[in-house]
Amino acid sequence: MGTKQFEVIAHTADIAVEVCGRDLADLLVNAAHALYSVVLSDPPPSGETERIVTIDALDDDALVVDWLNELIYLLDAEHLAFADFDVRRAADGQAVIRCRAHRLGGTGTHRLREVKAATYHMARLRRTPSGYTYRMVFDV
Amino acid sequence: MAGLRKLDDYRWEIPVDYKPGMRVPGLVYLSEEMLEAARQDEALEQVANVAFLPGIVGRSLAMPDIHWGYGFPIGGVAATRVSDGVISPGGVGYDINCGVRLLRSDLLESEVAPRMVAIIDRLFRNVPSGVGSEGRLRPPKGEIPRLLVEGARWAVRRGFGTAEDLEATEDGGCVQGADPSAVSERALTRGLPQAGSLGSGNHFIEIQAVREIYDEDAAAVMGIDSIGQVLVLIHTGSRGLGHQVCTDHLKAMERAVIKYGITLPDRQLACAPIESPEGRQYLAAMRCAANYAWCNRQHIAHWVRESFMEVFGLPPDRLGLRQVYDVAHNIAKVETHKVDGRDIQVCVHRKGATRAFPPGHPALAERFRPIGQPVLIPGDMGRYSYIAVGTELAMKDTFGSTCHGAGRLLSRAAARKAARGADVAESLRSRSITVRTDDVPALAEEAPGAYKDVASVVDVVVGAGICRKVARAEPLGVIKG
Repeated sequence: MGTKQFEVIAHTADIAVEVCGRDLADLLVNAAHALYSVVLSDPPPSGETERIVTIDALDDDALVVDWLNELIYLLDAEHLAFADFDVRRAADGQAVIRCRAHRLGGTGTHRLREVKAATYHMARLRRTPSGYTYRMVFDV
Repeated sequence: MAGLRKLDDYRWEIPVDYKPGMRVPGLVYLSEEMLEAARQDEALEQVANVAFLPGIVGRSLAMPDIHWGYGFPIGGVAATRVSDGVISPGGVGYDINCGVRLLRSDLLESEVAPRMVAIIDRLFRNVPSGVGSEGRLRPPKGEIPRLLVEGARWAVRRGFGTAEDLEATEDGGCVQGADPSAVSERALTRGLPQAGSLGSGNHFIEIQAVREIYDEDAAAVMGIDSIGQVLVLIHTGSRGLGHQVCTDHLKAMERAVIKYGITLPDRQLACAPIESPEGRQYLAAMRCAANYAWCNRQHIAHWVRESFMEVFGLPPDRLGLRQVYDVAHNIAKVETHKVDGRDIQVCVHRKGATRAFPPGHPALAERFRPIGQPVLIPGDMGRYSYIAVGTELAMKDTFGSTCHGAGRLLSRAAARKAARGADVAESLRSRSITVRTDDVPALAEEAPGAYKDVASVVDVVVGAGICRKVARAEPLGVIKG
């Protein structure tokens, strides 16, 4: 996939993506971009709200899904979409990520699609010569 | 898939030795013509994967509207023993109690067609719909536990509908065993603002006209008695509350899989013994989400009635907008079924499948016992939908289950490539179907061509004897969420 951050791949009922990253931290950031490309009209601008998101998952495969589900929750419940990620820790199923949020509403970036969740189906990190790839399915 | 064995014109078996770890065979309801499409993706593999679930009995089943899901295939049915089996949130899905409700009316197509634009516009105004739609319901904080425990009954108690609606709803619109303490604050925060909304995606309200009646006696019990009679079909679920309940409990189940030493071929099948703390907590929360969904459809049905009253200026008794039935097609239920000649309690997971209990079943309201449970099978927005009833054979062969709809044929991306949303709207308009949506480009994803022909799906379930056709209706107007 070269320098591609992510790619939407075929899935009959839902939306599947393949995400790439130089390392796990990079992959988490690209997974967030993949999510927003599926649900928003435009990439979210950097906003005024800062959040530190902490994820405690069973392992690194689940870490990506749990991170995305946190972003989906914050989008649905608080209308927050994040940019400017600073991954402070990403290993052993745990992550601490500082990010800046834009609150959706009014004009500009808006929601195109509801995503119910990121699923664990197919969710597995694969090592590549240039880092990691990860496939997963969003329930839409 | 190697080893798939044809049993008859409608059924294909996946042998138990197809994959090491399968506990029972798989059984897929398909015609020969549908088989090639089903082989194109991972759906059949998912039927085999479900057969790994501890305590599964009979077979891992799939209805002819099968398509590739996550964990379970859409159209999947699996029953697990309550005594030593598991419950899997993936066997219910994120939209807990996604389902359909059908209203009948005393209006004829000839009366409604000239005012279709007005009625669709009024419905569009009265029922919040679309991406991120916030609902009209603002339940007081103190009432929320009651809403989650009582479901549609809570709505009826507050004047939204009648006792007759409850009688014509699966489980009376209130599944027992809901415990609000099992629902997280996050699920409430996410879901409560959306209470009383249709949502988006494949959710819809459709005004239809009856085109064919196959069983006049059963149709009469449902209040369907003439060609051209107008019906209203509502398709929605538990919105963000159900989605978050599934997310929360799947995370807990991930750990339960390790705790109880369960081996699975797909993490999305994460599960826990039904009688374990994790299993009981999920069931209690899932039932709250199911009740929320019934409450949601109860309110939407009320606003549909109000919309018709406003547009036609007729009182409720002249409109006759009474409920035919309301079914859940994403749910897990503890039911009694005969397994190896013995009645046992099983947890029936229906993931894109409809309960189809036979005539005389005690779970049905008295008036439906002579005909069996009404089954609602929506098609796509350009063709037709079916009304059917459950059968004894469904009880025997599929744990009282049948199909839930047409099933997707094209991925969303392929559907968008095949047609533009504006062209889909125009094509529907040329066939006198009024469509209204906030998101015209997204219409392409729900285009008729993106779905199987539901008639071919119904032919299989009727041919296999797991439901009987009662009537067929065609769309006149659609609100797409």
